Amino acid sequence: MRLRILPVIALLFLVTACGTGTGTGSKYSTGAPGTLGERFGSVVVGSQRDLAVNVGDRVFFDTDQWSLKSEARDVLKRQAVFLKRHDSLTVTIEGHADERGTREYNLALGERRANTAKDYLVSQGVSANRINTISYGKERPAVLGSNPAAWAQNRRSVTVIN
Amino acid sequence: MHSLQEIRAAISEYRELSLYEMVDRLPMRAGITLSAFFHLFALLLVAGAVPGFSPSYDFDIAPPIPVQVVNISDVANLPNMRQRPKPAPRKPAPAKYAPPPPSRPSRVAPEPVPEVSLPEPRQVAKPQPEPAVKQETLEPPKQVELPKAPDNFASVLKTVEELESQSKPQPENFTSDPDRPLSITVIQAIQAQIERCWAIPAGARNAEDLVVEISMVLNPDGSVRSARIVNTSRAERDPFFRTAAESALRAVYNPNCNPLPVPLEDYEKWRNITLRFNPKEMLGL
Amino acid sequence: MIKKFAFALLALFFLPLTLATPAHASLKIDITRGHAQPLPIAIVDFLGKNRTERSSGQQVAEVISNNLSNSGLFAPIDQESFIQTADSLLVQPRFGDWRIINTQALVYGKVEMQEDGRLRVEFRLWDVFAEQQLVGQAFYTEPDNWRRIAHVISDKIYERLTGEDGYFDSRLVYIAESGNARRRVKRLAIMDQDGANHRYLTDGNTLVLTPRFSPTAQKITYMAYYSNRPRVYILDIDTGREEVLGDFPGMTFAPRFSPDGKSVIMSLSHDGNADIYLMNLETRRIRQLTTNSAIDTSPSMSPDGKRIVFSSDRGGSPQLYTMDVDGSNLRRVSFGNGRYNTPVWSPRGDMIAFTRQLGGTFYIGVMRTDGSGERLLTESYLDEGPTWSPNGRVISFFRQERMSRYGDGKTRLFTVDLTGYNLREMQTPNDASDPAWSPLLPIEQR
Repeated sequence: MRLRILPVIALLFLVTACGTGTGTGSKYSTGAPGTLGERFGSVVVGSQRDLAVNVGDRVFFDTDQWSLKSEARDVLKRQAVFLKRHDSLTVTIEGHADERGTREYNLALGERRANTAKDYLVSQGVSANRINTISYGKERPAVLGSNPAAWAQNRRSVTVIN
Repeated sequence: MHSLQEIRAAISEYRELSLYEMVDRLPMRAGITLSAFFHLFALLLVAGAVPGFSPSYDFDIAPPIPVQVVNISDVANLPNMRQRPKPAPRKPAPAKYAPPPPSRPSRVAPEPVPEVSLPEPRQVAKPQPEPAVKQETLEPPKQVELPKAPDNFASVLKTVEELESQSKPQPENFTSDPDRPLSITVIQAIQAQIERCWAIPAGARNAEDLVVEISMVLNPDGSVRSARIVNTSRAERDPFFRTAAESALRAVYNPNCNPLPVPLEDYEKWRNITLRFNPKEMLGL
Repeated sequence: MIKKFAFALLALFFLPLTLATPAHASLKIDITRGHAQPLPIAIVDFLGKNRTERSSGQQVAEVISNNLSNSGLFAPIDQESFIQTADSLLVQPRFGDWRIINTQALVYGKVEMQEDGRLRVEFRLWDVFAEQQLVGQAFYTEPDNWRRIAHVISDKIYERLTGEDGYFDSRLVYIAESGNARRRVKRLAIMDQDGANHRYLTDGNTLVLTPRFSPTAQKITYMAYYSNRPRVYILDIDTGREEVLGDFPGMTFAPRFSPDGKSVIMSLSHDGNADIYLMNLETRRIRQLTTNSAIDTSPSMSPDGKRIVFSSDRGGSPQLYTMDVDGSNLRRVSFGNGRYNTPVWSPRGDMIAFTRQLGGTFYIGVMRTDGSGERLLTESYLDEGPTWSPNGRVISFFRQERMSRYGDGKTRLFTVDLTGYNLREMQTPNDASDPAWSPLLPIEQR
């Protein structure tokens, strides 16, 4: 009699696990369907939060570099899937630099990083006219502090849904 | 060995000869001895060891090597004397995004179409029209007789005039030799004093070219009677040179560095001095 | 025969005795050391017939005194120690009174309101040792503009006593910063070089960066993010009106005027590649000057308008290069380790100032235009963005402190002399960056 409750409890756990929908790449890496605007757990499908939380809205670069590391490519691949799924969306990719460089050079560096990310998305099948780029150089740090950890977080390109 | 009589006779005979004939009659051995003597004399002469025979020439004394090494960085701490920052350890050349293939078209056409419709200029700040500033030149004011306050300079001049009228008959009483050059210690003392008052024109363009010569006449008490720039025409043409020259003149006239520390009894040795102000050493050039 | 020769030699030996020259030759002494002390100068409060004029006269003397003192080359003498009274000065200086208190130069003058409502200020500069007037001039302007006259007089004194052109009658434009470091509020601001007459030119709602003066000092070019599009703009200070310089695809930034004011050089970034362009302000046509796939930015033109210095990372890391105004004759001029950026050609034409990064440190440095004679003038966690005073003698830049994780850490403007001496902080109401120094403001001959 007591033994029959166990599978019910296990099933209940399974259902709740399906319901929360957290963790990166849970939906988009498997190609599971989701409609734009629909709530999936606490996140609206196809929103910036969805992108940030489930896909990864940013990639990071080494000092003075604008080449993509392999983790960056993985994130951008997922972004491409996201964008192909929600093909009415357009984005702006913001390029940023850390504070350990001069202002104008960092503007150019940020622009390079934004364009590298854009080019990769295009190579993954996203149409170029959906992607805008803008550089903020060192003007908009994400993390405050004068230390390598903060700088590493600030050398980034961020994909922002328009 | 000749007898005294023989020597006397020889001397009286020689007295009637001309110098040429005297030499002509010299026996071989005497000639050699005489030649050796004169060679020695010549050597000593050149070495200056013969009293009363030192050659006299313009004293062109180079600055003596200072005993106390002045740390130049104390006075003119030009950054190029600071330690160079240590270079960072060599990094490997950073990997770059592959350059675009050569066939890629140029990014923006060299002659783009001029903008058809520019957005209208808009007001972002308050207007700030600039008021004019006009200038005119003034003449120096006319010379006016002011009731004279006691003037230290004037009284010094008066005393100097008195001193000068007294000093002239003195030379015979000098104990030191008028032809021996001024001692190194005195020259060093003069240099040290002038250097205290000389403001070096730092940072001027071509500062290393600004060598200024000031020719001075001193009063017997060591104060400056007159001083002039040797190269006045350059001072008229070149404002940097004029500044350097005026700065040198101020060093000479500065009451803090006047009178010079000169030995008063050797007036003739330092009465005329030409100072050559050369900033090269201080500017590290 | 030999005896004749011997006779001649003998005669030569006795010759010096007949040439006894008296030791009256001029003694030559080298002076190779001196001091770098500032010149002691006395500046007397300018005189006036009534209280208003005398009050202005006092303020004029104070501005002059501060200018000369801040330059590091002059030491104004404490007015308490003056012996001669001001009224007798107007007749003639009594030089003994000034020599006693160790004055080497003397400045005095007077202030007069004219019948037409304008202000007249006259001044005289005297050499105390030579007892000679060196300069005597008078200036006219609107009464509210009296500070400019004080700056012009400061320049005349500076020029006559140092041989250099002055730099006091000039302005600085810069970016006033405030707020959280993640989203700084940045406004265009302008002030006299001594910090007076400060005002803001934009409201801070839009990010603005890197302003520079035109040769007339009446226009400013800068980069702004209106409508989230980073573009180059020109603001006319006279009218307060602003216009965009072309609406190109991609970011335009790093603008500077040409010395004749007819063009603007800038960087244009398209598809991630920044190159240098020259725009004719009249025709609005642009010409591309670099075609490299590297980042080419921060261009600055020589005062003769013939060459441009800029930074490029085509060699791996950012270094400095010069080229002709048409883009030809490219030459690399920086060769040290680390990175070189933000080059600025001196108005004297003889040097280039720059920002250098080496290890974890930033430096402001100068070099000759062929790259030789590099000297580093300052160093800190972040020193950046040098700009030259109009006489090429003083450099202003900004210094940013390390940021804590709360985002605090000041950013301020500093000046330093070309010799590396006299580092001073400039007073600004808030944090400040990206300074740019104007040329000398215009004066009309009467």
